[in-house]
Amino acid sequence: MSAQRVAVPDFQDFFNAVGLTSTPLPPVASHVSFDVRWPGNGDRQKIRDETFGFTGHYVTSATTISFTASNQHAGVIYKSDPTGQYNPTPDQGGPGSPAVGLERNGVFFR
Amino acid sequence: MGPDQPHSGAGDAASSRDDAATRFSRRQLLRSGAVAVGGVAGLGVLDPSPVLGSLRSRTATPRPIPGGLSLTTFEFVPTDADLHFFGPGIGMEMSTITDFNGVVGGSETRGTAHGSDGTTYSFDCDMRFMQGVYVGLDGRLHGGSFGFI
Repeated sequence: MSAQRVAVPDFQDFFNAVGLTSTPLPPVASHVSFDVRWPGNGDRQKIRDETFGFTGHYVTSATTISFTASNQHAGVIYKSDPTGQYNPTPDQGGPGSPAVGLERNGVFFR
Repeated sequence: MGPDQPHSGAGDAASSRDDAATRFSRRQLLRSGAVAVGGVAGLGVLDPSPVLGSLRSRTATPRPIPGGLSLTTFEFVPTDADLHFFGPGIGMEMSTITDFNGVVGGSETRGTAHGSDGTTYSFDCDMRFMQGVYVGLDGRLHGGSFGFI
């Protein structure tokens, strides 16, 4: 997944972005470019979850991202470092392995 | 796929970048339950309008998934969520839009970044995409591509 110079509002942090701060900070006009890679070279899994109402076939794999970001006020361009990236495990507070796959939910779940 | 078959994201995103900031906000995308905001956040693909998708389907607003994170219990719930997303890992629903059938990808990646002023930061990003068919708020079947950042 990649895109170049997408205009986005910079809320500074997640909590401000979703309105969970007592004194919301106004967003700053910004741009981001990114390239995310899912090699799809891991385990294959079929999942059907009746509680949450989705099903799919997935392939896990580690992912990497390359991005640049800037906002109108700072005049600074931020770039991700290509080395040292990792996908956090549940023990590290992460959601588990990244994956790509075919998924369906809602009216397509039945 | 229907007549408005989805495109790959990058080019469309670039072409729509000028109005993306005003149309998408993570706040909208995540918190909107009634209004269709679902896809790209931070950058703001939270408005399920196909930010990274086909311009032809831009007006076909998708419906956010009913589940996600409860801000009361800080647990994932199957319905009546406050924030309409799950973790981007295997075993959890990766799509942030419902009535969807298609290709998805999700990941959480951590690392470091450098600013042109010499500063160093750590980052933790939730990135995902959805490309396929979906039933929009208009009740019709559409094709589209979405990104969540």
